[in-house]
Amino acid sequence: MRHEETAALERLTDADPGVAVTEEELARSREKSLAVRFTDSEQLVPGGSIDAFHQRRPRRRFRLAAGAGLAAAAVLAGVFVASSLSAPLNEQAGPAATPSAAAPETESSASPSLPEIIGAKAATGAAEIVVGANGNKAAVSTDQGVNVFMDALNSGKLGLNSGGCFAEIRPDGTSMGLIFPFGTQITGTGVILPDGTAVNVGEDFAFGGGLAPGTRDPGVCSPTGAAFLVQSW
Amino acid sequence: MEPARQEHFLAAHSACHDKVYRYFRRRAADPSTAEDLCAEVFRIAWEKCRQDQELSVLIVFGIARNVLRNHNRSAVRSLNLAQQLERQQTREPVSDDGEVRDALDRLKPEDREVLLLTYWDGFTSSEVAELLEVSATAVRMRLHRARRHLSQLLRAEQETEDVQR
Repeated sequence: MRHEETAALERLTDADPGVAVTEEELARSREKSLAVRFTDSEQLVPGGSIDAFHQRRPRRRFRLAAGAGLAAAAVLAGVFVASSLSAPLNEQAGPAATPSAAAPETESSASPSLPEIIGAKAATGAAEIVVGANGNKAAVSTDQGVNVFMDALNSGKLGLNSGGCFAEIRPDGTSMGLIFPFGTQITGTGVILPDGTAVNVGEDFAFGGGLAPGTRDPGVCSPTGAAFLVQSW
Repeated sequence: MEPARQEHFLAAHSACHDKVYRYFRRRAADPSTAEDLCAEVFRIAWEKCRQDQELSVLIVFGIARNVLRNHNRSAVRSLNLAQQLERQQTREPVSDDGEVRDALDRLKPEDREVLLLTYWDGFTSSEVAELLEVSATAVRMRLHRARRHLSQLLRAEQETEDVQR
């Protein structure tokens, strides 16, 4: 190595900021980094642990079952009301004896449109791109009051894609679009989900939901087309 | 808390913490950022201990590099120009030798990284190669180029100063 290079490396070594680190700094950092054991990392997953996420499923299934039950009851009630209104009174008195006698009833009960299912609202996949104060973008669902949820788990790391949009950034550098739930806000460093949970760039997340239904284009937030609709966290 | 996981984590913490903190202190704006980044590295390490994954010094440094990269990316995105200027004005000097800092800033990022990992963080060429996932030959070439370029830059600055006097 030439003399000049040796001298340059000596200056480089002397300029090392790591040399100026004090024992006090190290002790503070040691304490902080050891404390991660007591705040179990499961709880640092935005919105709670993955186990807790899966524990929500029965509740959602109960809601789904309740919604389906309500819908079935509404359909049956609709069929009953429609058939009783359209059929003559004397035909309701007794059971139909022959297929020919039953035919008018069948026709009359099939023709009215089914009643609207109430109490269950699924996401349509509609979203808008919201731009934060510093220019970061996020695709946010415009579906309000959704109560039918998809159950897929998507865990990964939040980052910004090439379009400056919050997305899942995979270890190989590729990204997957995310559609955040209605009411999500953008901050300088990430997003705040409707219940106040903050997820920042670089943080790991575990979101529940599924591929956004429909063929709507989330634009720069999902250049590849498909996007994951976040419904629980 | 599982004793095996604790033991695994404490061994990695004891072997790596000070090096990782200094790694961040050399590259982050201030001690509190270095502390936060360091804690994030060990949070991830603690999670890996649960999955019983290996935690060698190089693996922990691999985590540290990723954490720093994410931090830098989000910092660049989130700070507007005015804030960046303000940050630069209030930033503590990373080193006393401004000429060295300027010269380092002018090196190619991949050359600078090899130089700093070698001369500041104390890794051998083969360790740097493993950390950066490049061949040892590539590391030696980058190191040779970085040393030569640094020395040229420092000499040029010295000559400029001499002319000005």
